[in-house]
Amino acid sequence: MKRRKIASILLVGAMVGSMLVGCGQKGDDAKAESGSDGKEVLTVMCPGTASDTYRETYQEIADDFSKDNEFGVEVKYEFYEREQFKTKLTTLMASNSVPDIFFTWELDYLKPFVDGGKVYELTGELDGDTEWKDSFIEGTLDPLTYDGKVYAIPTQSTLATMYYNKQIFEDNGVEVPETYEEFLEVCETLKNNDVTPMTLAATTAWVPAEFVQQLADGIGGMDLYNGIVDGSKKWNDEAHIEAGKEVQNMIDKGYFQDGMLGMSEDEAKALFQQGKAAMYYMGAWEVSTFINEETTPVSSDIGVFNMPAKNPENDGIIVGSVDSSYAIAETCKNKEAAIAFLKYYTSVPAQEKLVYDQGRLPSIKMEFDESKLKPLVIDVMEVSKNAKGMTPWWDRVFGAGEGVEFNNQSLAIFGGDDVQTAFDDLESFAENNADR
Amino acid sequence: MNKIFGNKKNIALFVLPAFIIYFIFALVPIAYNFYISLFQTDLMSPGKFVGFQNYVNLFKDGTFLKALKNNVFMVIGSLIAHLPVALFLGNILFQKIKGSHFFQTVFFLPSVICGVAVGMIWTFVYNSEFGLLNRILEVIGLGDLQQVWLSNKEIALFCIIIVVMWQFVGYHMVIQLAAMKNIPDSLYEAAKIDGASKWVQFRSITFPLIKHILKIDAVLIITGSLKYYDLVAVMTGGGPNHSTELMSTYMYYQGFRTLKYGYSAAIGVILLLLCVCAVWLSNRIFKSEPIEY
Repeated sequence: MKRRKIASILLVGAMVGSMLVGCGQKGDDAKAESGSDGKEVLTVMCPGTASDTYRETYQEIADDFSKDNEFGVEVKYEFYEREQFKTKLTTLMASNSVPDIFFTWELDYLKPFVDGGKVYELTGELDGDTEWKDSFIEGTLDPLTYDGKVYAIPTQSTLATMYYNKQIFEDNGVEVPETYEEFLEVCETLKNNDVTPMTLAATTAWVPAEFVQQLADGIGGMDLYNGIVDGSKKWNDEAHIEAGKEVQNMIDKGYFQDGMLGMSEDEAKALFQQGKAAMYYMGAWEVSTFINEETTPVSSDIGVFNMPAKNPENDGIIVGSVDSSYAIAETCKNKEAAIAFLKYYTSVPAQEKLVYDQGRLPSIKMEFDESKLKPLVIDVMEVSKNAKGMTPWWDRVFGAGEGVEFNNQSLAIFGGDDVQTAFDDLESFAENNADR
Repeated sequence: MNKIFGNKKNIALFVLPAFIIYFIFALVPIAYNFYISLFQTDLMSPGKFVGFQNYVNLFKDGTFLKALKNNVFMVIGSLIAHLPVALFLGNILFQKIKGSHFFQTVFFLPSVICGVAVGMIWTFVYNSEFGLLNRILEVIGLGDLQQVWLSNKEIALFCIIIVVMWQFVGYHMVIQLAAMKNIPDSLYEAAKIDGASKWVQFRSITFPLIKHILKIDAVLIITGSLKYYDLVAVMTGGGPNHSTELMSTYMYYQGFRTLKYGYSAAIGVILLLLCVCAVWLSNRIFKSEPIEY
């Protein structure tokens, strides 16, 4: 009897112990509250995984700021995988326990948090420091402005572009296409020479969506974008239908890699990185990966061009927006320090680090030392300079509801669904979703 | 001991801690969930009271109806694998064949692995480029049947259901086997002497005597597959284009992704009601008396 008692006490102890262990553990990425030498800590929450090289650069910028600032604070990054980040941020928002500074996407992503009064308004700070306000490239603050008030600071700008392998182009005697017809011809020639013209990940819905949006931009131009934003145009607009049909035409002709529908982002990208595909349509952030010769054997052969528009008058209208914006939580205790950090982040030294080390386009007006820029970065800047208009990704404009649904329907189109039905479905989703 | 538990107050005292926890973590959230399902809210700005509008919208929402339908498939698939198939396997192992303990462990193994790991394993198996399944099909000369399994919206759901069937068949088999082992040997000995075949033994002795366990098992299976979440979340995330969406994954999507918490809460309430109905129904269907051997 006694032995049994002891055994049961031990068991209970073990159980409680294991529960405590479960509670106490934190992910590798989550850092403790107080910093080294007892400095006050500002926490920045940001998406990123161990394979993202930009994490180091971000932390370096934070360390530079921490080293000497008048507030004596230390800035620490907490990185989370992208989907985990989204879940975590919304949960923390609802329970009022967001970290001091958080990464955010622009437009509709931040809007509910702004409406809920969870985000610190920065208009006053910007107006109080016009030098800071004027340092931003025109229009970059607009996607983060709600009711005339600015709530977040863009730290980068970005766009989607067509990467191509110069070597493959040369070997097959094709040149960078200037018109849409030429683009199709390039694909056709490559295809006939048994080269995979394009690689694309069709398991992650926003990737095909990005491509459909670019084609639609080339057909409908800014009118289409503005029309859908202000509601005067419907999702099943002619331009969208035409773009969808163009995509299916390309798929039928075999312009994308075999097995596209089952390929993840990394797999599709790897084909391009290893020189097994000639073109890859993706955001400019991928430059960080492509300038790294260890991961990208064909690094020195990569160039970019602007996807030609089907209606030539829309040439130069591309998918792009501001990127990696930072907002300050209303609950942040040391807002002055947080603002100082944002100012430092958007100052020339920090932005230089981002552009020279990671190839990220700055959000501020600045001069570059061309010798320090990688050739690919110069190419991307050229595309950016020639852009006549930018349409932010739909899932940023409309957030998770309609935006994600656009991604889903684009994926369905890549999977061979009827284009008209897909966009009709999207339109009826959009109409119903408004009152949920 | 009897003295202590003879007093109703004492019983209440001992039940209290468990009840408080249950109250805070189960009953209060359910009530609160129902409350916010009557609002249009993102839990940040003040919500708008809409009454039962969320429920009305739900039944006009194609994606929700599809999720509901997928859940029905999931229930049917699980019932097939976890009642007849599990019972069949359990009955074989019950026959005291050689190595029955070994097979018991083998069948039980998948249900010990955490759902996320199972999802990862099968995502690799189903992978269209380097996956085991496509490779096997190629090797045995059925290359024509190769598929982009999880990206084909016609079949993705069934690919997942098969994994669910595989994962839990051993779990239910063990439950049923344990019930079978409770049946006294003397009954089978008597039956053998009377010349009853294995099938008759199963039909007339085993089955009636484990019916009460099957009832509990059926409830577990149905409610389990109604609120099923993890494999779908890991393997397809409800995609492609919502084709593998279940009620639980759609609830997550509407809540944590589109911030329509009121709508998402309404899905939760429907899910709860369906589970309660399922329990009630299976209680009705498998009505059984308590058994004394």
